[in-house]
Amino acid sequence: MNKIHNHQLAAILFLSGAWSVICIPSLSGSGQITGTIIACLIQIICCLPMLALRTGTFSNQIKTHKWLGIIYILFFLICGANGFSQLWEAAPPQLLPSSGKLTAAVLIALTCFYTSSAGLRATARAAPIVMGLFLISLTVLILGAWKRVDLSRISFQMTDFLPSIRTYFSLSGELAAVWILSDSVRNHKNTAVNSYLISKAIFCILILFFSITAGGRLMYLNGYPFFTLTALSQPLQGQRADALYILVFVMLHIMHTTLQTGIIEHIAEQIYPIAEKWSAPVSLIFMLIPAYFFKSDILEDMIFYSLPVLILIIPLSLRIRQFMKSIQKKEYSHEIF
Amino acid sequence: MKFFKFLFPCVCIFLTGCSTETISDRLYTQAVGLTCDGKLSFYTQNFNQEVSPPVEGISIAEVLRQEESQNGGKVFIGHTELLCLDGTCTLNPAEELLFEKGLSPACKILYAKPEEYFQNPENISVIHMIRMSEQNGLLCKTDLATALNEWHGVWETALLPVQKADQSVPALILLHKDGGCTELSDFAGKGMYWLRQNSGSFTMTLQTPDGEQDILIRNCRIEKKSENQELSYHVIIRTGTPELNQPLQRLVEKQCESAIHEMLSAKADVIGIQDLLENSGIKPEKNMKIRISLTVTVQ
Amino acid sequence: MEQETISGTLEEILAKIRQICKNSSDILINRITAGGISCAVLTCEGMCSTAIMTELLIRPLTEMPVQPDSNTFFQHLQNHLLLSLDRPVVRNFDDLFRLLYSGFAVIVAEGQQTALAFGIQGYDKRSVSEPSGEANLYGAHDGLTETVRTNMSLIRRRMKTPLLKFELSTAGNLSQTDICLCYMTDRVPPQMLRQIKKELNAIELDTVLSSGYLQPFLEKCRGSLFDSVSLSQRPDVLCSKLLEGRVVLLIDGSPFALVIPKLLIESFQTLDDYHHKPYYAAFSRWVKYGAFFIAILLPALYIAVSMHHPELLNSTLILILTDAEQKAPLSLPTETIFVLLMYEIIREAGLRLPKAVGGAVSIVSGLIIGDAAVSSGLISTPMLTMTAISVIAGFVTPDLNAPVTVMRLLFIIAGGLWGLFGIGLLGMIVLYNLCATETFGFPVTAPLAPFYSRAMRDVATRVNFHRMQYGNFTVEEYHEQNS
Repeated sequence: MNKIHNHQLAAILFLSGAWSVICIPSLSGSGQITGTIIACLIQIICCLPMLALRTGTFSNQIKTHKWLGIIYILFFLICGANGFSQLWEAAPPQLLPSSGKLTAAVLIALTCFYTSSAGLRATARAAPIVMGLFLISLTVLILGAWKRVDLSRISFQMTDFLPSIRTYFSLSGELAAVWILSDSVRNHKNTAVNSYLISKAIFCILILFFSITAGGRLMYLNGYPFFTLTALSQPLQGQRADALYILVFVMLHIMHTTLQTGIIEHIAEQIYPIAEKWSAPVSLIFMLIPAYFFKSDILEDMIFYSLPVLILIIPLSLRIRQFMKSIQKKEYSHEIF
Repeated sequence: MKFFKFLFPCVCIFLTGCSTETISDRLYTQAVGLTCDGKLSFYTQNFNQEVSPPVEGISIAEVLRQEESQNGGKVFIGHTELLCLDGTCTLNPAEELLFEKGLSPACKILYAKPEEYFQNPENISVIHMIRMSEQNGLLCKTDLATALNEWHGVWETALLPVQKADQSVPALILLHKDGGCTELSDFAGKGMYWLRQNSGSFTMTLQTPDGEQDILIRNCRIEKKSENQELSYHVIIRTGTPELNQPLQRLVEKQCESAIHEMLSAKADVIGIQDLLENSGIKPEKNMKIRISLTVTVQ
Repeated sequence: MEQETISGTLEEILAKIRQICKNSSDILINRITAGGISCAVLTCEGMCSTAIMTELLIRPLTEMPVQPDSNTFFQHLQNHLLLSLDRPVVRNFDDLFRLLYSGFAVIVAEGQQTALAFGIQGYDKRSVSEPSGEANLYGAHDGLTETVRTNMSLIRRRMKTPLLKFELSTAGNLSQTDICLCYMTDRVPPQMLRQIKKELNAIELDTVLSSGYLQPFLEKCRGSLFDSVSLSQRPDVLCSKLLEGRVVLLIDGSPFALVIPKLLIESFQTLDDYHHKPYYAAFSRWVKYGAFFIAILLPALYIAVSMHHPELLNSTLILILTDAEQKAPLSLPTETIFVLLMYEIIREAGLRLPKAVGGAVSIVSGLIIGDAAVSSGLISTPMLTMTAISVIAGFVTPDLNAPVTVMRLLFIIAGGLWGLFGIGLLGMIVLYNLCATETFGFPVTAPLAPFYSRAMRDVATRVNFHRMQYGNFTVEEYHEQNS
């Protein structure tokens, strides 16, 4: 895989994660902010051993253990399917073209087919640019929401935060990509990963904070706090500007899906080089089909239960296996002498 | 393959010409009215001050379809500036218009009977009246999003402006979920201004023993706290005329006390009581006793 | 071509020459006995200067003392007479004809297996003049010409350092066009230079008539909307590129030099930026950036917002647009595409027409499109205004005219079909296309992607020369190695 810079890795992961954050289905209260902070800290703690314990590059591992590559491919298919499912469930009708949600999903899939064919390097270069545009739109959103902020609606709570930890983890499918993508970064891998985790948590907290303080009770009733917030926080009085967030919506979903498809393509190239040419269109079809039939909460549950296996158990067991092999080799060499 | 690569953009160019909906096919409404008398009645007025005959239906979707059939164009409420409601309609249709039909959250709501209001197209000037009053500190800010927030609280009331024939500044009423309404006095209405929002600068006239005097209000801030069941509201006003601070403080105290008293008597919450109670861990109930302590500081 | 070496008697050599060139009328063979040796002076009609030939070649030949044999004769010519400054020895007919057609005079002698060529070029060539594009106010007003050697001198005059190296070679199997690779030996990335030479050597074209023939071979990304190799006609611009470690390729017969690699950001930089004060230079740069986006997106945004998202406009504006569009018979996207295509037709007509008739184009286009179409209601005024603003904004970056024109049309289609959703999709496709464009490991999007903060001093702003003198920036910093 071509080398990328650490800030590009952080941007790619953040944008993929930001899509999941904007599709948070419901607001439960101020405890959700506490839960987000705790979940972020847990993720930082989990990622450190994952990066430290991994044995060699991901490409080498999956060449040796092809079953590992297949597990990761399945996982990223579920993540991609979850993205499309979130698109269908979360997007308000005004944000999608009048021709319907299926048309929107197919158009996005066609776009992702092209973007994933451009390669990881193109994604890495595009990510900081998309990040800049995203930050501008976030600033506009905050400026529009600021007028409606009522701080009396929020308080620091240590109750009811456990469900939000679970929700945050089920929206963090890109964590499994950390091991794969960090192989492409020359230096400061930990810095890149930590930047991504912290910035995603900050973004999530900002959305929750403004949803609670600016949206009030309407947020709890309508769900999908990001989209409700865009409807309520209008920077200009005479116009309704939430249609501009279509651009944010499209950019984030494409980055999210391109990441999944690109990684699947990379894994397919390692384990079955013949399949590499068709892996992108096939994986996009295999993302659309489950998204059509399953709701996003089922797919998010799958992500939640798979994540500990992929980010902790697999790297740990591979490391232990390598350690056991090295002990056996030493014993064998002792026997010889 | 190359043929299809060429064909696709040609088809797209062709399709762009086939669009049946053009910018001029829409009906841009400046004001809409809703009333429920068994059926939902929908009134519209466009930017040329032309009022359409009302249409009826059982849901928002149906009345919009009826309106489109009547006027031959798609109803567009994204620029609607005024929503006129009487007590027969709860705010639920308004919520549907906001989140599903694209009504602006900054749209003003007016408590009035649509059948009377839309009889005179020039009544549309009430939008400007409301805006100027809010700017000049004569009326507290009310809009659709704020009203809906209040509506979904435990006390299920919303604060709406109402146009009075003999007054230049709209008055305020508390609309209840059962359709009833309580009109606030002028004094209480002005008290609501201080209690509900932070505001920028404006000039107001004060009655003093020396006569009417203008006082510059630089800004006004409201700080709310709750400890156990005791709620405290602290109004902080900065002025540009220190010699008038004392009379202003007395006036604002009376206005705020009047507002709180009338609001609590009407069993309403339009100043964020529910949020304060929830943040201090108390579950608000409709008939619970509320104690509010008020402090006004004029600097 | 004939790789056959020169051999045989003088008559045989001349017969061979006539055979190869099929007795072409522009090959002039003058037989002469000089220094007692039979020889022939070959020239190409119109390529040599008669005055220089008479003074430098014919007179010394006719006044040469008698030589014992042809070897001594050639040695005397090479070592004792400086008949010209460029005197290659010709060993085969391939080189003989190449030099003849390059304006050299070639002397073949009885009993010699080689020939001597003397550079006395005198063909008609265009004098150095102001470049047709790349106009600026404060920079030099001389531009490259069609003669590669003149262009080499224009660059050398500005860079009087031995670190600047020129490498002449040829391209085109039949045309044997002279090309010259120019680079700074201390700054050019060696790997890039090797790859460029390899690419040039692998070209199998028969003719190279302009820089456009070689450009596709140096751009590694097919299907890219943006060029990864730039063209320039200005020697001062080329010198600034050379100082950054880039390679410049001069082509004989073309006044445009190729510069490798290209960065997209250069399309927004002009030499005038370095004459203005930094604050104004920064301001004009940002105007260019804004103009680029306006050129591509304004009509599409107008269509998308008017058709699909009118709530983004304020009520006064929407009423004005509604009134204007009510009379128009066509849909907005069709109107816009029609006007843009008309503009492209007028532009092409203006380029190809003789100057005498050119004025008629502006009158006809102004009257027909500007006045009659709007008055008749065929086209609405707001839409025409948007399109005109977009077209004028496109003139700010003429270098990007081709991609801007195509992208503008594509965005109009996308905006007309799917509104801001379509614009977002196409925007991502264009962004990925741009980010995937690189040549010899240099991404076109550098220094924005990957982001180099140090480079922002000449991208986001233009720092003053006191700070710019320190830095020693070369383009090698942007190179991305493949793993």
